[in-house]
Amino acid sequence: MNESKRKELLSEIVCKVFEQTAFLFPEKVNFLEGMSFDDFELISVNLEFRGDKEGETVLIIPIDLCRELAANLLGEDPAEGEDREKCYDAAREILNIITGQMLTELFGQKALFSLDSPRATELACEAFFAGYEQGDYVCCTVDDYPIFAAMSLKEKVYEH
Amino acid sequence: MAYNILIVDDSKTIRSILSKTLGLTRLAINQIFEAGNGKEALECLQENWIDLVLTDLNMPVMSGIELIDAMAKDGMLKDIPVIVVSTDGSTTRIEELKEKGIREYIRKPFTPEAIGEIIDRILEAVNE
Repeated sequence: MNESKRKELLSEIVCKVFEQTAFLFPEKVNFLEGMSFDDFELISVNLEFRGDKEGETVLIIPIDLCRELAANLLGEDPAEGEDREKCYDAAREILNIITGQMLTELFGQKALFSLDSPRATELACEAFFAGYEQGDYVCCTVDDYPIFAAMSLKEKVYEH
Repeated sequence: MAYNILIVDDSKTIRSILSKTLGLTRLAINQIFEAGNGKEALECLQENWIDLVLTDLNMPVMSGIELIDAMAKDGMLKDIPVIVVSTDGSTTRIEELKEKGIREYIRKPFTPEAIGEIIDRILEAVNE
């Protein structure tokens, strides 16, 4: 599957997983089209996988959307106060599910993978935009919040 | 008969979702125990009577597969039904786990209905 089709698949799976797990309905958009990021505090979640193929998936979402995500996942009202760990955990789990679905779609049901535990960190907007040039993100929006996702695959090195 | 169920997942969110889901089923539940990895699960199994284990696969410290292997080697734990709840969709993995004796495999994301139906079926079969 070429890179463009892989990105198309990733954005479809991101939308599907948000819908199925959290009853949030993202729409695919072109990157940065008409968006302002001044107000967003972002969380970056990374997950490395190995097995029949090695690589990494990344999900970047605003903390406010994470709060809504966590509340919907748990069937609770969005917390007024700060419960960052709950937000991080929800974002990690969503990326876990997205990665599992992507790997099956890309490499078939016979392929075997081992997924590391996802890592969540705060990400400054400036840092994200600095990295974006080399990145390969797909972008969706839900309730005016942006969701960015990327998957990178490592090429296998064969030794003689 | 009311059941004691152990949920093993490194995600507190998933443990909460599963715990709530179990509360929505028609199962008679005595107590729900939670563990964040296989090692914590084994400690819980040594200290408590557990009727059913729901476990994730990819967890830090001790994975779900290591937990399943450890339970299979322990005479007191080997007959406790285990259901795997994971994002892994590999049929190769599922076959491997079924050979190890797990009763069922549920892929995330799951619906409360699917979880309830599967647990119902497994616990009914155990009691027959």
